[in-house]
Amino acid sequence: MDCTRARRLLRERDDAAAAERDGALRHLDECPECAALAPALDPVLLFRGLPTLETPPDEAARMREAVAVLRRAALDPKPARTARIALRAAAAAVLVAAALWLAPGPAGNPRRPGVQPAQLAGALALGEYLPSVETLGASPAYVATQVNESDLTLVIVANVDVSGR
Amino acid sequence: MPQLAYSERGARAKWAEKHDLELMEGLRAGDTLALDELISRKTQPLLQVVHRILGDLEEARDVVQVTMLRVWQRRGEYDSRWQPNTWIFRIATNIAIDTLRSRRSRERSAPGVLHHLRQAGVRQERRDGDRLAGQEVHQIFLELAECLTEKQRVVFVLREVEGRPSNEVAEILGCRESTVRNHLFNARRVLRDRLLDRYPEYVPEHLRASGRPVS
Repeated sequence: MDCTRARRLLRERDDAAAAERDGALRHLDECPECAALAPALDPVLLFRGLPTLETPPDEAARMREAVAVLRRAALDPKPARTARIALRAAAAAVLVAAALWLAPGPAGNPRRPGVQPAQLAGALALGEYLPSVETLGASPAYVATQVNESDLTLVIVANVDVSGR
Repeated sequence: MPQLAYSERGARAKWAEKHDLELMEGLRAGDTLALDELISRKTQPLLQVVHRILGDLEEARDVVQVTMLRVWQRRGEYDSRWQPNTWIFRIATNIAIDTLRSRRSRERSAPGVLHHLRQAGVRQERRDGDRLAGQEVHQIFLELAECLTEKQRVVFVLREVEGRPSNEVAEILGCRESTVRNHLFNARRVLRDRLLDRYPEYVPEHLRASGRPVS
């Protein structure tokens, strides 16, 4: 497109056909003289000269790190606050119950019977219990917890070495 | 571990040689190194467009971060018939439009103060003699663009400032080319009128005399 035609089209852009407008704009990229004159033909063409954004050299590296953090946070959401409180309360209840359960009874009063290993294995197999590992003093304990709507039943086997698990 | 570091460098170098479409395939396979390479390539062009739309670099950075996170999360939805650039820019412009809307909603709650601050900022920019003319033009654009709808603003930046073809802008915005032309026509008319009204010194004298009344 020659300069005269491009300048006429740019002056009357609103009335020109889309293809002709595009051609005139492309001409501006190729012709510095017309580009310098453009705002005089149509003041809105002033905004074609918005500056190129200058960013620090490590912009992309910082962006990669920021996106990695967001991605990990999206993948690995923390449990809700209420769930965390419930879990801590359950753990505390387990420890208290364990201390009471394992404490020797008074003289003449036999110690309460423990849970038979077969019972525990059966309950775990039926999926009625939530197994977890807690620490009782220096020893890890295998703890199976059953939560019902109405009450909380705890079954504890203490002093089980689970380090090899 | 030196061996692992070496093999990761090798994998990064492999992705650096790939075409955007191949990167998208890597992304779909869940390769985070493909995502890293995509971020390296697209950060600057995305930041440039979003900064031109929003006028705030920190906000633009946030938008680009969320864009790249969405690209990762929605990688399964990507169709290899689409141009990767168009798909990524569509996500970015949608987030930028949402950002503009929420910003305007915030400003509606305190219009007087924010308008005054913005005007003061523009006046200050114009007083600083050593500022580059381009930055002054950007400030004027941001002030006048407040009169545009979000879509008009995005179309104007993509089409008129960035010089992207109408069909690509239509694909990015998910609309027809005729809609893009309408948005552009209206945006130009509003900007021309506001420029004549607020900054007549930027309008040539022969156009000032024949200028249309501000609508």
